[in-house]
Amino acid sequence: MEYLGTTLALFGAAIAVALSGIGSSIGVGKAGQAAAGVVSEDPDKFMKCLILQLLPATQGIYGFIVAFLVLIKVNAFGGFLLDNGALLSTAGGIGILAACLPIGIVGLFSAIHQGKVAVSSIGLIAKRPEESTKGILMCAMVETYALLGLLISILAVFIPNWV
Amino acid sequence: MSVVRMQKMSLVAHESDRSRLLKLFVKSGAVEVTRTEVIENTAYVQETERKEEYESKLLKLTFAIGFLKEMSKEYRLFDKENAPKLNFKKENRLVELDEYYETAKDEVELFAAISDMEKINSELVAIKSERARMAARIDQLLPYTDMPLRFSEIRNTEHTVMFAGLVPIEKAEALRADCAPYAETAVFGAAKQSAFVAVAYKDDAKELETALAAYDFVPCAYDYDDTASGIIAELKDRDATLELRRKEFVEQGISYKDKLTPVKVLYDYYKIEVAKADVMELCPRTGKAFVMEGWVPVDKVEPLTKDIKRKCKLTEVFFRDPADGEQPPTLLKSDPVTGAFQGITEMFGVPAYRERDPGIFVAIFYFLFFGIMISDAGYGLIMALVCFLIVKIVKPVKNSGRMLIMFGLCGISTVIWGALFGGWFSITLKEGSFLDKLSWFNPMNEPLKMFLLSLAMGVIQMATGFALKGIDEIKSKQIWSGIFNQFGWVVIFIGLALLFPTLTVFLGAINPDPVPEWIGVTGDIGMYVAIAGFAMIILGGAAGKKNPLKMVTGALGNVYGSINVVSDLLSYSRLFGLGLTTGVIGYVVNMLADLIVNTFFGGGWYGWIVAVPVLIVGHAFNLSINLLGAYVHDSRLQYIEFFGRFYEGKGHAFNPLGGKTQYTYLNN
Repeated sequence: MEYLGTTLALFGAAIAVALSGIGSSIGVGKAGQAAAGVVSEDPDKFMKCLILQLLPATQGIYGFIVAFLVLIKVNAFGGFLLDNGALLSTAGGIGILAACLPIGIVGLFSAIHQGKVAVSSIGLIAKRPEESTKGILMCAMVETYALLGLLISILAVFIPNWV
Repeated sequence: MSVVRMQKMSLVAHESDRSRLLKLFVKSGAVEVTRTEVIENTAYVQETERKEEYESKLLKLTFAIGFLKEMSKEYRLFDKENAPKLNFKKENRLVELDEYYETAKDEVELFAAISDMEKINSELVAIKSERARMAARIDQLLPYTDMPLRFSEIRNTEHTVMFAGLVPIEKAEALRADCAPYAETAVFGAAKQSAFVAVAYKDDAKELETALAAYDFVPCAYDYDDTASGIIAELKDRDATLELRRKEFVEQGISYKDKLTPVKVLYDYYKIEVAKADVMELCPRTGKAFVMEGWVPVDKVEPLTKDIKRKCKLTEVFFRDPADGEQPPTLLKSDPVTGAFQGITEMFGVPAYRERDPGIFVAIFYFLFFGIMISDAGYGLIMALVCFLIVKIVKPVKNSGRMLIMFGLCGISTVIWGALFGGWFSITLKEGSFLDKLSWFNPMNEPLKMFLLSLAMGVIQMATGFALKGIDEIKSKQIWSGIFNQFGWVVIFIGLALLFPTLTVFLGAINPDPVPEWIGVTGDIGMYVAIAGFAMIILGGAAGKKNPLKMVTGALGNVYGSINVVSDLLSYSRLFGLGLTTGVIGYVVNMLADLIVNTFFGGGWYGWIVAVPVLIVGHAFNLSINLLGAYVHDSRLQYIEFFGRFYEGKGHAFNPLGGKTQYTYLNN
């Protein structure tokens, strides 16, 4: 049981990276389908479509960053012993697990919805390629909330002195 | 960075001056023609016929460009080394107006070449469809490949019947067994379908037919005087010949590569001609003369008048300042540095003619924020070097290099911020080294400080936005609203700025020991200033209203509106999020390389053979994804958080005659 705290923290890392990764896969996947359709009609629009397809990918990266910070926090690369020479306590583990939830949950949903906006924006490129930047910006609006989730997760993982 | 003054041009001209006048306008690139109200005894004339002719020529030219593109693609497939490098994008040089006219003079020759291309194209299409037909026939004959009979040999004799056709392979053996008592059969194996041949006495014909039908037998419908394999060989032979002919045609097609440039020039010539025809449709005409109106930038008025006087004797032209109700188009004047960022403003919308051009502020803040978002000096160096090198080598004409210069400048900003954050390809700096001394703090170790820095940036930009709006309102005589509603926020933000040192210590972002006394003092002052500002906003909401109820709702409305401001301020935390993202991913890439060298390969030099590509690909990925992120989110901060305060961007951009070309840049 002495590893329970560490395990909980790692579980949090897993949630952060997995949920936001799922969201990004769905978002990028949907956008990719739409992009392939447009490119089949006009291969010249490939780059513009690719950029839009890539936008929902960032949530997965945010989740990855939080997971990575958790690994550093619990000293996963150095034998799990913290600075004070002890393992992470159960309470600390629950704390870190909770800190991982914002980016996990928000990442999941915002990536899916950003994917939907990206699909529409790819449709916009098909009709009016010169307006592609506006499509990109509309996608960026959805990402704001993932960024806020990331922010809270990072601050909550990093700032408190979890022991 | 400002909006260029415009003057309204009105002219009356004789039809004989028309083409000279329009040519002059195109050459000057300084006239946007607007619709003129019909005057007595005049009427608009539709230029349908002329435009149709131009459009059909444009179609032909578009075909030629597409054809050459196709040919160069096809040619590359079989002769990569000698494949010509053709530029199907906009040509990176200024084309003189005379060159367009010269090209148009030789258009007969050019269109002859295009009709040759059309012939080659139809030959190629014919070859393609014949080959498709042959491929389909080969597919159909394939199951009969092993059957040694010629198709013409499959026929009934006086006493026997003969059947040949296909049955599904899994049913073939059962069918053979079934008709073994009365028929001679043979099966020639193939993939899904087997060729099945059966011979029987006429008396048994009925029985055989029933058996065949029961096993999904499909009779063969061919009567070639040859075996299947013979026909297939023949078809393949023919196919090889066609392939050779196709190559010949492609080679013929590619030999027209020299026509690409003239075709592109001629395309734009007709594009301009169509624009001219469109413009003429806006002018009321009498048959002998016409009236035209348009906008001309002030500094172009004099040279234009001179040119018109000199070349068009039967034209009378007048200029006047725009009237109050009129909305002239917007042309932005800019210098090379801040002009690089002009694209950001234009994407949102150019300012209305009488609105302020936010360009200089956008340039400053965009530059500032970009560096924080990427936050790695190494990446910044790469960006700056690559962008400026491309600009140096390619020398983009007109405005086409603006974006590159912008990213180059942002690279410089990234170098500065990266050095402050100690980010050099995410390598952990040695303590006490030169680069370490350069750095201010590491956002990975002190995220809270980074967070506060981001918000501080937001405070500065939003305060600027409110101040600009306040100035505009005061200028337009809305003095109360300007002072209270807008400058109230500026006061609040100044208060916040004074509060910042206290806040950083209080939140533990900085831990000075001992805590200097002035921090408490500035904190107190800041708080009172912020409260005073808040009071100004409440007053501003109530000001100018007579009904006390409306005063209260107005004040409450302003208080409620402050929630928006706070959420906008928090939005600047994306600077922090994106900045940290770069650092962490870079760190992971480095760790991976370290793992490969030291753990997998035990520290041997050969580990680097694997590690170096990992480093290059990893950092390239990191740089590209963060470039995209920074570009998008930096723009967003300008559009929503900054422009939301004061800028509408509802002008329409100055669109001079001859300004829209597709494949060339007109020198004007």
